[in-house]
Amino acid sequence: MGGLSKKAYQLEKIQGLYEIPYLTVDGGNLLFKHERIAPALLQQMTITAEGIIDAYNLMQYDAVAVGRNDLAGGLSFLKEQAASAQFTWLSANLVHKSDKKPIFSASLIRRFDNLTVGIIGLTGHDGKIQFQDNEDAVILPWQEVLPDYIADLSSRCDLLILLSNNTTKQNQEIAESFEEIHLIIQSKPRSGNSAPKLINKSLIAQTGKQGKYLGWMLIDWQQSKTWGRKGDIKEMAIKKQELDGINGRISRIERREKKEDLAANSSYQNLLRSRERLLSSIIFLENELHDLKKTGHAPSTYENNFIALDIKLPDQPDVEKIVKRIKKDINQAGRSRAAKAATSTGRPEMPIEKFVFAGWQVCAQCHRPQTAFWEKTDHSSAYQTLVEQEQQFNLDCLPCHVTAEYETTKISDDDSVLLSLPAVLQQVGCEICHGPGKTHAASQDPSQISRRPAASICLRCHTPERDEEFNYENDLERIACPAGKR
Amino acid sequence: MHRLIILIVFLSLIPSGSTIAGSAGIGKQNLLLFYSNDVIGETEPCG
Repeated sequence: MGGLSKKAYQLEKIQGLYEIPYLTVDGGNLLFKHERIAPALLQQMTITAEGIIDAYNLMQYDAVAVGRNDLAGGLSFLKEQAASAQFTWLSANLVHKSDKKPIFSASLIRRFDNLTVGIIGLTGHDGKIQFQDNEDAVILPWQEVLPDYIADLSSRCDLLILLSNNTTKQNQEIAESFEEIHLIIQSKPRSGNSAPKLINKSLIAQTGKQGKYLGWMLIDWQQSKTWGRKGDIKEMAIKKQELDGINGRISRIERREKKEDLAANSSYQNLLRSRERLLSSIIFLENELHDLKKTGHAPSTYENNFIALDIKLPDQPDVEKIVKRIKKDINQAGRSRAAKAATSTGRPEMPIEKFVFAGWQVCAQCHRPQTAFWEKTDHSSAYQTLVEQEQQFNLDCLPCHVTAEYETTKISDDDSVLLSLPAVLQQVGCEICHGPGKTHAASQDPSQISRRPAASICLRCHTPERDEEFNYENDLERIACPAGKR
Repeated sequence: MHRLIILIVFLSLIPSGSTIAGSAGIGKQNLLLFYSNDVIGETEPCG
């Protein structure tokens, strides 16, 4: 979500560089992280989903495929969101059970000056998503729906794009089955960037997971409606690069030598001859392609790019405002729930006696050097960083910034625990690494506490998605408390 | 001389070679396509 404003900035920038028509599409899984969401998270996930749609409206997206995760808030929720979207939600295979007609739009046609583009959407199908009877919905296999839509659109469009939430294997099968599809934008969750790959007559491409990348393609779409052979086009690019090099060397000699000496300079003369040979072959290739274009047989070509939406990139101000509003609203919603829980229990925070944890201050009574060391680590200020970001009531953030049982941090229906922790648990405290310490504190028995945390404990929060650079051995050494019993 | 003029004109018309992932565009492009997916992802900027 944080990359939205950066993506918006890049879209505007690139659109400004090229005065050609543009199309902005998304392969799906736009609104939710998972296919199911815990009821406790529904409220803040809804705030996020609504904000994402506002941002996509501002970015003037044309079409978004309905991904499986987009259905996590329920079908009626997505229908409500579709009503406020200025882009088209596409799914040819998410249909009414009763009449098999699409619940959203199956396809979209965009007409530009000399180019008509058709877009079809597909929702991933593996039979696992179950709808309620009253929702009258079913996801059909692609084999049942694609033939008709492809037959219709390919007769009316120059370029046919499929936005598919299916697996790579299924998309390759689709490409093998329908040579009328020219481009498949895939949205397989948790995959990396995948540069366009030609399968049969279709290019299949995907941007990396978690919205960290924006993909863009400059397309020269020709009447042949086929992608060019890589060899010819690459050869042309290589020759042009060689030509650039030779021209540079010729210029340097011309600057360095007197004009009357050039005729006797053998290196210079060799370079001129090389340039002439290179130009002849480039002219030959150009002419060949020009003739092919005239006869309508020139191959279509593309140039693909991925932009990493790095935190250092500039933000588009209007979308940045939306992202800030989402975060503010989420925190406010959590704060209200905490206040409600406090009113019902009559206590602003849950007493420590309710927990298996003793709290860091109890540990400090015996382990002073270790506590002094811990106080200087980021673990001790983990909750404070949420306070500074005004995200201390964000249930998505909280689990990794406090001392709580992992079962609790998975977020159950009862979220009041995380929202009402006592102050001594509002840090990533000693007991996250060493385990709950109440029994150990009472008995002072070393066997009742873990000395070294297993990697699996760290990896609950330091996942590759959140902490790309995490290295268990190195980071454990860095974070380990000084040796010594006390 | 005539040949040299043709060469110079041609040089001014040819775009520089480009480094491209995939294949190289050779003509005038007629569509700019932006694509993305999995927007919300796993990581939120919590702090």
